[in-house]
Amino acid sequence: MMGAFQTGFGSIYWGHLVMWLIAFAFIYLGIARKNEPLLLVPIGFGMLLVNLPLGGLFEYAGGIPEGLLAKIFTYLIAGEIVPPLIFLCLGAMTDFGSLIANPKTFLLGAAAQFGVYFVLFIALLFGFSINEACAIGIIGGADGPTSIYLSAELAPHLLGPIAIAAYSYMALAPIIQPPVIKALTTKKERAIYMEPQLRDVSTLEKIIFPIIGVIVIVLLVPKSAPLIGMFMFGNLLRVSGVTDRLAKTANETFMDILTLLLGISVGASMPAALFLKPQTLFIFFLGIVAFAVSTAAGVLLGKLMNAVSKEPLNPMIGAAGVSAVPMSARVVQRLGQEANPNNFLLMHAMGPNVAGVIGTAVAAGIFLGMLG
Amino acid sequence: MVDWGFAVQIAMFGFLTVFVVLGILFFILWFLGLIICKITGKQNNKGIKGSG
Repeated sequence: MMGAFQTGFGSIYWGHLVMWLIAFAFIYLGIARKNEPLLLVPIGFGMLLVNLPLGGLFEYAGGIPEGLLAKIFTYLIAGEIVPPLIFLCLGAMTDFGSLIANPKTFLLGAAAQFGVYFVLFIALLFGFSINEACAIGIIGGADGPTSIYLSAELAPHLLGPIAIAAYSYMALAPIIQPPVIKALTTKKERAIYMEPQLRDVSTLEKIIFPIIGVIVIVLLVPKSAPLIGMFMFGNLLRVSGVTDRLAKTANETFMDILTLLLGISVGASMPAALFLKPQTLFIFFLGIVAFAVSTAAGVLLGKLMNAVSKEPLNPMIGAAGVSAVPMSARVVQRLGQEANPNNFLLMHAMGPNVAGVIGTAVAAGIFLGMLG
Repeated sequence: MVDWGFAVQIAMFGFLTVFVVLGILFFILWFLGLIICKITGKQNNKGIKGSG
């Protein structure tokens, strides 16, 4: 009467239990600690779902996805549709005002890509191929969609761990970045006061920037077009003043839909058999090194710019050159207030933060141009 | 076998290109700000540096 009915209990092994604990940790951080809940809750739940045996949500048959989440992951995430669309939404959410008002912060966004190249070499030393090393290195940019986009092209077999590492480190920026920043700066440097008010940026400047930006970047680095093109398009929708409906849809409803699909399917890409391998754990280790080195490089250039600049520049804003928007900028704001309660660094940190998004997409485009 | 020469090439070229691309954008924004500020007369060059 029961036919082939089978419960999942008999198929549970220790690996599933470990993954449940990790999934619980993600869900806990999201709900109880409110650490990027929009990312950590779906990722954690996806991870839990895929590690409930016999559910079949992430099953493939002969390389063809059969389970629901396997289909979403394969066609939308690994198929490189969702990452550029997320860039469109990010563009619609991004205010380039602070970057336009203080363009030198572009350089901090560039410096904070150093971790990408540093870890590329470490990964090579430990036996990863050049394509794999580049895909792992890009985690240092702390940009989830870019990491997914690049690894889908260069190292699709590592897409799951790289996506999880990139999104986890983005969400955990408030835990990872402060020790690095504090190690490289004195309290006096962290207390450096910056005028809270940047100059007013006209609408004309805001409209011209995404148009000129996309022309310059895509002509220089053509393979960055899917990411940069969508990013600048989304931003033009926001600033044009005549496409408010589209911009609103992009930065609210559409972004939510994409985040849902991405979060749960990325989490589901981590079944115990894949996750609990030395190689995956090593990718996580390399990812955190890349993120920390990128943070350090941004801070060090911030110190240099402060030394040569006529106006004071709090070196901590360099740490926001990684593309974890707006988590890194918030970290800088919090540390700035701790050191000097009169300091409001958020707007200053948003400049390098959005420059970092562009920098990471450019870095990925260069990798694709040379290896893709 | 890792081709270290190629790896160095990728890393050097990549990092420098990121700086060049963002550096070009920096100059474009700087000049754009300068021109717009001249036209509108609202801020001078010092304004662009963020003094408001």
